[in-house]
Amino acid sequence: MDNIINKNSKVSDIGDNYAEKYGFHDPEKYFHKSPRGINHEVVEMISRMKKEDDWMRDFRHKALDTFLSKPMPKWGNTELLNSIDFDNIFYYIKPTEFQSRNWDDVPADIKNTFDKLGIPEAERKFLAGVTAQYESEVVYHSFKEDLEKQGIIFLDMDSGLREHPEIVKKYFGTLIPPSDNKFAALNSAVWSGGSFIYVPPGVDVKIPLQAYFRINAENMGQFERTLIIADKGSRVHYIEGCTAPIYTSHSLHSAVVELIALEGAYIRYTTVQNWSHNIFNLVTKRAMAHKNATVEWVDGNIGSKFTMKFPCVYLVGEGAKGEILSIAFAGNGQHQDTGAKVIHAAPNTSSRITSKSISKAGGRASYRGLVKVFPNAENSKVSVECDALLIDGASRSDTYPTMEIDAENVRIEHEARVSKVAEEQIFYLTSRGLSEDEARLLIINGFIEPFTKELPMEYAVELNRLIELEMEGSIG
Amino acid sequence: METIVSENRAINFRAIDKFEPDWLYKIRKTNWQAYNQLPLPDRAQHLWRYSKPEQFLSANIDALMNTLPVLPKHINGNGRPVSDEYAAIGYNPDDKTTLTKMSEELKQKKIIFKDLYLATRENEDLVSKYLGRLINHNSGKFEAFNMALWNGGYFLYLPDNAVIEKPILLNRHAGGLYAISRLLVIVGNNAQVTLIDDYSGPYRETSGNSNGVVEIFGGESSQIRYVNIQRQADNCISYITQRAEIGKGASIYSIFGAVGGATTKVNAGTILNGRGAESRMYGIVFGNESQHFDYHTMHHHKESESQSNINFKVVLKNKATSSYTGLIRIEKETANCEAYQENRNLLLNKGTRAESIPELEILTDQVRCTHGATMGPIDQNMLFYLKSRGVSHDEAVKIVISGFVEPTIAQMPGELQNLMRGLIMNKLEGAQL
Amino acid sequence: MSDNNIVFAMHDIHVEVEGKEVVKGLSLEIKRGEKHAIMGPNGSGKSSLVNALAGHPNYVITKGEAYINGKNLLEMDATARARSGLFLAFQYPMAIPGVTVANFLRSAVKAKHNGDDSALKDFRKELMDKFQLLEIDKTFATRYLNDGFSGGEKKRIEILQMAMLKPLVALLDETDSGLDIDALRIVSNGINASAPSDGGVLLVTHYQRILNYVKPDYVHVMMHGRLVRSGGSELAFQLEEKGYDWIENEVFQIAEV
Repeated sequence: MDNIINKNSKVSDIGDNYAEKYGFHDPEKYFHKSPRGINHEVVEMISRMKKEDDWMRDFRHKALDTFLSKPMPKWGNTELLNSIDFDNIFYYIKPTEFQSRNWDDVPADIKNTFDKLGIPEAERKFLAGVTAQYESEVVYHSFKEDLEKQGIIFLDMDSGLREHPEIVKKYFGTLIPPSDNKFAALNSAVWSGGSFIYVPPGVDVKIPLQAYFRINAENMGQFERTLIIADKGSRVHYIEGCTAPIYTSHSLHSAVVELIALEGAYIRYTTVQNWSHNIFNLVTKRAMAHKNATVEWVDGNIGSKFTMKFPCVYLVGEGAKGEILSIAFAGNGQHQDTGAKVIHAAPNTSSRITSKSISKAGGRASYRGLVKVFPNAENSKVSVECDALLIDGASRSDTYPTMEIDAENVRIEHEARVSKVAEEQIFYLTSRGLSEDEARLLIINGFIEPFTKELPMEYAVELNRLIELEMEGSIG
Repeated sequence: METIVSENRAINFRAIDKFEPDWLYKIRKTNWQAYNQLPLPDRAQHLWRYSKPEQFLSANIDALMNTLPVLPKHINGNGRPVSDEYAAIGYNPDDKTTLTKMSEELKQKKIIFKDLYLATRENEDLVSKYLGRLINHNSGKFEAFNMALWNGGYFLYLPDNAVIEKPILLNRHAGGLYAISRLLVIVGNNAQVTLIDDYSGPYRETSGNSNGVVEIFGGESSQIRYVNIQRQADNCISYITQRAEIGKGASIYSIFGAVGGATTKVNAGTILNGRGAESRMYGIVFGNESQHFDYHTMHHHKESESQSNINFKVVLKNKATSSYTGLIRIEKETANCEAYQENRNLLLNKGTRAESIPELEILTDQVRCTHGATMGPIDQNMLFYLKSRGVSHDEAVKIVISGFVEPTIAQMPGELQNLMRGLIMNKLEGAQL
Repeated sequence: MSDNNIVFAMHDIHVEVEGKEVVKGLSLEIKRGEKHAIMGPNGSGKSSLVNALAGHPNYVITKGEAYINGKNLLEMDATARARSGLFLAFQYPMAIPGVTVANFLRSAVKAKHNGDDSALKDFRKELMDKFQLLEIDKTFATRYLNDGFSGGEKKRIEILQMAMLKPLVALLDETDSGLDIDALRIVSNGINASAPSDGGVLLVTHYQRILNYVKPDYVHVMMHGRLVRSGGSELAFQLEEKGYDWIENEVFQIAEV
């Protein structure tokens, strides 16, 4: 909080905005760039370039058929969905021939980009491993040696498939089959990059692993695929971040993320999504928590033009826990359609959903949630809390929670509130010497505090800064 | 006469009789065409996730043509007399007859209360202006069905400043083939009325299907209380759509009490179309055996300083199921609206199922809006507290449930309160709790 | 249990909450007409003890015996315990929305008399008398039980229930907490006026101050799930003066020796 006040005391100095900080783009010097559009030839080309086994190639082709045959979802913001021109997108761009383990080996332009984004610095400071994806491929990957020795696998997904086909084959696409939805089918057909993580039984990965996703080219489609398996009693925290340059036409980011927490395991998956306002961000994320396992999604959505993302946890083992904590910030021209899904399919399971959204300058934030409790999930507990803050009269907030309960002795509590920043609060703070802008920022920071306090410190600072930028100039 | 091929059968759509006003025939025909053209609602569609649309279709539409409204023979005829308790009563002993009766006093106040079909001729100016304005073929397939084929209904009109102290009771009997009824209520500025819309029956062996539409228009500063009771026999399937539009400073309390029927799907809503308008909705659903209830409520704030409040309670026993969807929408350009919504579900045993979907669409920041939903069994601590005072377990359960429903029952007019309490207690008797 | 003079007795009571033992072997006898106070710091197991005695399903008595008026308490469920004359004034009384205070008490009085309606003959008058005794506004009769009541109002209503139900043994769980000076006096008067003369009172409290009004015959100190010291009312004053650490140290030293 201090950070905000200090920063804000020299608001005029913060001349930077998304355009300068993240919105720049590099000249395109790619190793390979596929033609625009999607068809079986593109899929075949991707699979061949990756030298994949037949099963994966078949999987891709089948997924493409599914994608082509599936209609666009009929719910949500159908106007924006139907505006996606699938023929205008580049589905595969390979920026470099090889992946580097050393930043010095990364081409200067690209290294420069990640330097500006602060990735190498963060890596030195507090990360156990880093994956940096640029367009379709991971260009940089590093992982601390001692962790590797403990048997932890942290690779980009393509390398994971090559080096550990037995694990990948067992879990890949099991939680999110291509038929799940149109965008999961598209991802399954053209996926490239993403992370593959396996943590052996009982191993605690004490410091976070991170992946950073960057889209550079215009009309790029980024389709990374992440699979994390935490074996019995293990623990892991994974963080992803994303940015892109500003273009006038749209790019598509459509990831698929599958998490498997085996008995007693713990996975936390943190996202700080800060795509530029020309990105369609349509992501499917799902986790399965076995007996006494815990999965936590910490999901921050600041950027993109349109995001549809509803992180999900299947609680399939007795005593499993799921938590989804999310914030969405919808500014001018943005629609953040986010939420959470929890399926209780075993006794004594518990879940908690906390959603916070802020809409300003005509932005629209929607919460869409599903909590389902199956008949065998006795003695389960569910708590859902949605809070929406509207900064001005032009903005919009929607809440669409669904709760279905089918079991005995289950407690569900749901609460939602929509409000504006209270004048009394502002008055109280200004009477203590804060400017109105500072007061508003302080209140907004307090509003998202339950979220930021869950982030590693560096991210919390970054997130507060992002929100500060988004808020700048928006306040009369 | 018009023939439409529907479901592979040719059906003749015809006028009610040779005296049917032209405007009415036109509306009915438009709706009939819409009904045939509109597909069955998609189960993936928002309000149709929890009830099969097929069950609201009529198997024998040809025959329905024969139950189109006919002029009642004895307008103030053989119905039960207006008792002291009510200002007026409406009564339909079968699909073809609608009887109404009101006190002299009401007549002197220039209040109109009569069979809706009669009103289409005798009060053509009023009825043609309002009929179908809130609910018509744009509302959905089954709403179009109602408008095309309604075979019974009531019309109530209160001129400005008319106040009816005692409630008006409407008996709606599902029975015969398919009871398709409409209620059109126009309440003038500063006028006040309480309506009890009582769905009961059938009196015959046949199972009853009913499709009801209720349109209520509340003038400035009018005060309306609308009570909808569902206590049909357990072989009845009902589809009811209700909309009220109220003006500046007006208030409406809508109360829904549901204990009967096999499947009941209700879509109720108030449009707050005037500054300072106020709408409150209360609901109690008490389901047992394999009853299914699918209730939606909607509060649409179109003007500033309007207020809405919903308190919807569900108790389920045996294998009963319920889904509740509540939407609050607050339009842009409004200021200082307040909207609250609470949905609580008590599940008395395993095998029951409840869904709760409280929705908010807020397009302005000058607003205070909250909603909450809870689901779960009876609080064990409450039971312990009561038992520690010497009350038996079963009795404690009854006390907690009656407490759960009581605040809603307290909103109902006089005699109805005891009726509702009785209906609910009957369902609790013999329960394995 | 031959001593007809003993109205309430418990021997070696052990209580578990969520698998954890919180009362670890506690014995106490109350003779007719006696008032006992159990004092102890937070977390000593006082509330668990009285909740377990009243039959709360989450407080499991794993070992020991308890008798009310010679009847085996532990064989009964919460309802039967109440009907045999046990009353618990809750520390945190539950709100039962929709059920008025009067209707609730009517059910309870009727239940106590095995459903006999004639027990309700003078109900209304008696209720009003007790409202007066506890200086509660009459409008509370038609308010929903504990729904939106302040802390002090809830405590008064608890004692009102005691006065109406006339128990044989009253367990008062921190009835003094959350009361200001005036309310404490009123509630204490209510307790004194309606305490069973041929029964017993077990008052559980953290502070000595209520004991200025409700004079106990015996004071017991509870720590870590056990009674560690018993004495007359003077013990309460010593505690007030020296704090619970004093006893803690003494008991600890004895254990060392």
